[in-house]
Amino acid sequence: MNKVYFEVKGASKSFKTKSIFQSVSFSLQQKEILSLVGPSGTGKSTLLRSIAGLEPLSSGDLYINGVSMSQKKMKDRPIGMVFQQPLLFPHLTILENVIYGLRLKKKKREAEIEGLRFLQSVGLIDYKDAYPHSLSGGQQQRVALIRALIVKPKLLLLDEPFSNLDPDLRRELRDWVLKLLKQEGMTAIFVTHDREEAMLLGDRVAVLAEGSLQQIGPPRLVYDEPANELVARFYSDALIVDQNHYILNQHLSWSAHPNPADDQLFFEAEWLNDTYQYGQRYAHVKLLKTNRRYVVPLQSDEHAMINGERGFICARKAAIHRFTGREETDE
Amino acid sequence: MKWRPNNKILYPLIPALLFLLFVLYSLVMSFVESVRGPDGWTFEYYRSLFEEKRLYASISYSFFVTFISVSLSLLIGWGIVRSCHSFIEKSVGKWMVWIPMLFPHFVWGYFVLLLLGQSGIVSSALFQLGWLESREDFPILVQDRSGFGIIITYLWKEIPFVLLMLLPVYAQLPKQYGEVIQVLGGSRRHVFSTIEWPWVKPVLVEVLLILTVFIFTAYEVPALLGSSYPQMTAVLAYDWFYGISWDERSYAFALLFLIALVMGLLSLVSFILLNRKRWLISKSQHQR
Amino acid sequence: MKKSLFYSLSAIFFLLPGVLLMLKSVTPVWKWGEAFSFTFTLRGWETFLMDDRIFHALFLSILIALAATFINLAIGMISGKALSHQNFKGKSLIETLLLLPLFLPVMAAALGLHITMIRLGLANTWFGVVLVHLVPTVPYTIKVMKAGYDRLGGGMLEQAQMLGAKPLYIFRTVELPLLMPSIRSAVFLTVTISMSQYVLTAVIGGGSVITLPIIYYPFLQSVDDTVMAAFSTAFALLPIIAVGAVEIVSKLIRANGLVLNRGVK
Repeated sequence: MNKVYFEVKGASKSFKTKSIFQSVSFSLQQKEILSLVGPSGTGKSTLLRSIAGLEPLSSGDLYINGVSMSQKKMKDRPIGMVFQQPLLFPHLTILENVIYGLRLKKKKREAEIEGLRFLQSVGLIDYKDAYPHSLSGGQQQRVALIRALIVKPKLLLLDEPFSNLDPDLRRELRDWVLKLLKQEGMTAIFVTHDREEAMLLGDRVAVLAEGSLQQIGPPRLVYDEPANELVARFYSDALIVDQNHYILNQHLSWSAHPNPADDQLFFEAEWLNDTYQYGQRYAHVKLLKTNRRYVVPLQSDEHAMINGERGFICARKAAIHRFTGREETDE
Repeated sequence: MKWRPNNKILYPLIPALLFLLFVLYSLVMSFVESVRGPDGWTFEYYRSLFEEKRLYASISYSFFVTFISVSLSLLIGWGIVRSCHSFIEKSVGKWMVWIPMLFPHFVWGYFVLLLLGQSGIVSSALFQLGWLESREDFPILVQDRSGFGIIITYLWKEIPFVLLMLLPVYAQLPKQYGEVIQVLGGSRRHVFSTIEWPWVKPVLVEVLLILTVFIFTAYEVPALLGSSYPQMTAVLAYDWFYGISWDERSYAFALLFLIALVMGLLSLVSFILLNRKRWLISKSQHQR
Repeated sequence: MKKSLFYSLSAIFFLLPGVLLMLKSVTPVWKWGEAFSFTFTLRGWETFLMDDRIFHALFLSILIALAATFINLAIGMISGKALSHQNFKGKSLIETLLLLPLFLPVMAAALGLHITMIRLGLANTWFGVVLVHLVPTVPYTIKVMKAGYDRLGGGMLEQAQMLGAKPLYIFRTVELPLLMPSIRSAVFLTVTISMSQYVLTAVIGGGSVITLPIIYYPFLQSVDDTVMAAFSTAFALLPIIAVGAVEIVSKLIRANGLVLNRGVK
């Protein structure tokens, strides 16, 4: 059950003297989807490109079923990739695009039959003879995904495939992608900077920040028990008390006046605004000590303040938790 | 009223369309002159044109010179761009390529004469080095019957032209598609056939056609560097046009009109065939 | 390695001929078999500039090239903009047809126009020559200017319009400065091509429109390679001077435009 299918060991990458990421290690089981999140510019895409073989690793290695990939040429790596842009060949039809990878291994007729069957199963058969420019961005990305899937790679990499789409299309497409990946039993790494997307698609989530892997684990666990300040800031919703302690946002409340009690903590903050989301009211406030913004759940009858007015973020002392540590081990 | 918007679009095209009409008119007039005899319309000149021995000599000679010049210019120019485009685009190298473009063809022809003629600089230098006994020992490279001087001049002038036409294409080749092909398991050969060739082909064909018609029918260089027989088509047509007899004047028109017709149709067909793919490629949605 | 090979070959085949012609124009005649003399002399350039016929031809060539350039830019900008920023049926056909003159023998056009030019009284005049010089130049200019407007994009002009600018003002302040690279190429191409025409000028000019190429051929008979080299170099200098002149004119238009408008406001 816990058999390792894909493994990255001590991967590092630097361009000249500039280090992009160092000693990244993690592993995936078969049919598992990992969401790789992190602030932009932390080398998520470079890590993905290195796994694909588009860039060489500076050190470290990759294994699929225990077979090392680093010495393999790109065309011998059973790894597929979907890019930010669909990058469909503009002068080829949808069918020709879809079977591009198959054609490298199979006869034209066989490839076409397989391509048509795949297009049929995902409901894009009507577009088989169309050229890419006549499809919408979302449709193009679907075709790009099929083009990568049809050659049955052992590992599929998705590099922010929804980032160029508008929000509605994005939501629709990611459900479709998840369904298809699960249906095909694909092992995949999905890069995104969108937290919600990471939770929706990933069986596990890995947070890459400042050049190293900060935490990896089930979406809920990483959210509730961030390993450190970086994870808390980027992936969780938590008030960072100090280097070692945090309070999850759900335990915070807002009060105009300090209410001294032994088991209560107060942090002076400035009121910015209030919003409503999924039936809940939230106060957007700025903590004076750190100048950082927080979103605090609010009673719907709590009266709104004026932008700039001072108040307090309150929490029970018992809600304070210690960061779980730098890295979660696999066991 | 429905016509208004269409007309509005057409207004700015009027000057260009007038120009097109002007060119078309000139060709029609060439044809008219070629079928106008002293006693009315006749195709007699076309018939007797094809009985002219000078015509066949000229056509085959022109074809030979054009074929060699065009194919070598394209192959060499394309080869240079393929292997060097990464650094030519943003360097002084590009300025050097422009230098031959500054000079008219006949000036470059004169330079070839100055350099490679029997009394030229190279011949003189070889004599001074003691490698030649006399001027006559130097091979006749220009104003020769084989067309060597003409071909050298054209190669020297057209290779830079090919470079300058192809460089922008290579600068805009979408590199991301190369990565897509690699992750799909393709090799460099597939990158060439799927991306490079479709992107480059239209421009290559365009350059091929421009050079072919230009070299086949240009007057300036062969008039300077050619021998008296055989003559390139333009020189022959020029002789005929200023010849004494009416027949010959009509031959000039007939010859040039036939070439225009063949080349025009050839170009039109190639463009119609290429336009669809070219249009699809222009729709490419990679990030530039 | 590849880089140095490219540079040395370009230096030999592209740079050296230009340098050699320039050098030859300021050194005495090199007689065959005698040592090359590198004594500096201005005799070649003096002969070139003092010769009345050459001086007249130079003036006429510049006049013809300038007129051709002006007409080229007018046609190129107006239709280039339409072809780039408008969409209509048959656009790609018109674009193809406009390129077609490049794929036809220009001499056919020249001979075909000859009789009409005589009837219209344009044969043997400089303006007739200008008209026939349009045949090999206009397709290039339209192509270059269309590419320029493609790069410029329609949004930029619409933005200027939204800010309340009048078409002429937009032209001076947005189109002209941003199209300068295309204008430069178009001017360069037109002047170079116009300066290269022997047979078109000879046919339509009929021996009475004497441009530089027309007298270049008889000069070839002289064995004075110093004068010939000066003459040859002049051909290369003219397009460069033309591009420089265009640069200055456009600067003036832009500067004046801004000053004038500031005055009005």
